Amino acid sequence: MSGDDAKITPRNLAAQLSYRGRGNPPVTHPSSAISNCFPGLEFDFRAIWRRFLVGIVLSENNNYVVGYEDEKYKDLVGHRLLKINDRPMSVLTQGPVMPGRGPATLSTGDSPEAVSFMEWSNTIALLVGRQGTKVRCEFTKEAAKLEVLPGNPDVATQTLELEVRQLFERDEADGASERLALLAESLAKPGELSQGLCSPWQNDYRECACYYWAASRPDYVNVVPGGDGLSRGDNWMQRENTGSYIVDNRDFQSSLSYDDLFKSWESVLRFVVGGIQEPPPK
Amino acid sequence: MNRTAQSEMTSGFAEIGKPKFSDVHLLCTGRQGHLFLADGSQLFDLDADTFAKFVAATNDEEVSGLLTKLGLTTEPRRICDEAPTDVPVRAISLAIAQKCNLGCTYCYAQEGDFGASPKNMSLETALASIDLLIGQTRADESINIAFLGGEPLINRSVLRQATVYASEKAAARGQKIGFSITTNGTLVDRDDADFFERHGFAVTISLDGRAAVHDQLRPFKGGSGSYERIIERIGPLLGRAGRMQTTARVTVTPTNLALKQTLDELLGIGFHSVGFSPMLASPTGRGQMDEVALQNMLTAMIECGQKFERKVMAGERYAFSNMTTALREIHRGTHRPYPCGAGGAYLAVSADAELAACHRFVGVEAGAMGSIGAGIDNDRKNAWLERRHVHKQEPCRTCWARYLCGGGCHHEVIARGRPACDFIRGWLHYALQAYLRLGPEGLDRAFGAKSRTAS
Repeated sequence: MSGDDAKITPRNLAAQLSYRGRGNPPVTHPSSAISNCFPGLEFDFRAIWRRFLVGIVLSENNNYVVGYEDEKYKDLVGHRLLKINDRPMSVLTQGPVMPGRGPATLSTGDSPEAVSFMEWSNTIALLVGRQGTKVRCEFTKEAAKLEVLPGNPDVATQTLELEVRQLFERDEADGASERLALLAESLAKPGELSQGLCSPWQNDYRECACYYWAASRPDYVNVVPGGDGLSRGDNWMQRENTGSYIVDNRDFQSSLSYDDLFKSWESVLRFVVGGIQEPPPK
Repeated sequence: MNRTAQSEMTSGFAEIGKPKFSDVHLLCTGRQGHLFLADGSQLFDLDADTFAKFVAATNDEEVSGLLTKLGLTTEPRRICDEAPTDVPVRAISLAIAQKCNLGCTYCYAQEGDFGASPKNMSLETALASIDLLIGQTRADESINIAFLGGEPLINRSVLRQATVYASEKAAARGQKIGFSITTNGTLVDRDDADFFERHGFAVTISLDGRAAVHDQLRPFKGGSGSYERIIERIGPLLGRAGRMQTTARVTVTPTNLALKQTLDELLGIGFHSVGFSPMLASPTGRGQMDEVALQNMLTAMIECGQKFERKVMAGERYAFSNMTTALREIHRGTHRPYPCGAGGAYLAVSADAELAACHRFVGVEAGAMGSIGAGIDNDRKNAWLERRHVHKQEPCRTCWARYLCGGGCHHEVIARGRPACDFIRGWLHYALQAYLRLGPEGLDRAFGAKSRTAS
């Protein structure tokens, strides 16, 4: 048997976490995975965040209060949740550092102050041990449509104690309370777990263009080495394979649009064989 | 199994655990070959041919080639040579009473007073220590306070006030806090059980075996036996099955090596779990384990382990804590460059408010880490972590077990070197095999996990 036929089976958790199946690229390791702010495929697990704190409803991917369950929190709608137990929910976003320049802040239309909401899943990971207990929640005092940086002295705040919801149903049988592998009914209203599921992965083709889909297909294709030491090739989102890379500026003239992907991803996305995306550039 | 076969098997374990390669350890269960990879503490089954290739390898370079072919090498390594710096303290122990009513032959604290005049910690020092700990941490970080001595219950009043103070202070900021105490058990009263229960204490009672053996090793200062008194006193603790847990810790010397009997008896009394620890370095040299004693201890530990395996597979609880700890660490693949948190996330406070790397370094210059008054000496702490990193230790640097073991107790190593490497590797070799034998179903049972689904 050659080394290539070797059969190994990871046995403990550490080995299973680090294990890479034959043929899989390094990015398939959980440690190199991109944490995803987009929904899952089976159900929109962002819904867990919406009703994570008893009494209020948050946007599924943000610290923006969009609703309330308890009348006494009615006035919080439109406000932002800045901190839980002193831990900020958002940070200042700084971009790639270019040689010779300091880090630049990355602002967007929704966030001119370059404030980004952190992954809610990380927040849940930190608070999962607090289910059923109260935590200190700092909100903006006023409604805040735009993102707000926690700790900004110019922004008035208010602190309330809210309860972290029990995420799982409990079984009270046999005289002992035991957590079941079943999401708590109070965590989502009927339909909420799936209402965010319209075409999630057609979006992802575009949204996750940073070699994310390279787990199953590369996004830099038809690559040939150039005499100058650089490579030439096509962006997989180009409408036409030309052998000349078009930077994706999302004007959708020369590259595939969201609409293209929703309507006919089967025909606009092409197979890659041996690094060449069909049809090969002329 | 008869005694001869058993000891042959164990001598095999000590032998088989010896490091052949620095990055992997090979082992079998039945006819199945396995590979333990030091980097990241990963455990694999190998097919027969691949296993044979590793067995045939003669040096680290060949092993490295084989690992690369299997895709098991990672760069950079999970544990680098660089020591962490400015590690925040998350746990402290308070030498609440540097005095003891027992005169144990082997005590690292030299019968409780650490070779100095006996003293109690003042309430002021205890509270200032708690302030220091809480001040170091964020509200969402768990913290831990251990009460040690000497015999901590000699200073019960300060212990209780400090506990209540820490509890309230942590509760006010929503911080999780855990308490533990290691006591000789002679001074426990019924009221203590309520107090420990209320604050969720992990209580460890030091007991070295049945009456005759225990009394010889852990007598009162006057020389009379302490066993009967302890058993009578700790009754109310063992009855509690709520927030607190009471475990027994057995210090193993050449004179109390009948571990299986001890384990069964202490579990029979009602301890939540029982664990063994060899006496590797005592200030007087009395009670220290030599090579033969360690060999015998390994035999006895494996006997207990085998009984654990049988019990678990039969669906019964058998709380042999060395085994459950080893299985948990192997399961998650614990890998660390230190044996414990000493001098890192854990510091000890002496009765006179000096900080030390751990409770064993109270009053020892080598482990001094500042004081409550002057604050934590981060330079000394960083230098300690730099010096004590397992990559700096010999012969650990090239031992396959280095990230599971971490290099051995700093205090014992500084005092006596590393006489127990074969014992530790032999035990880990056995524990790895037991882990593989138990399989997912056995582990679920061992860890008490119930796989329930909603209907």
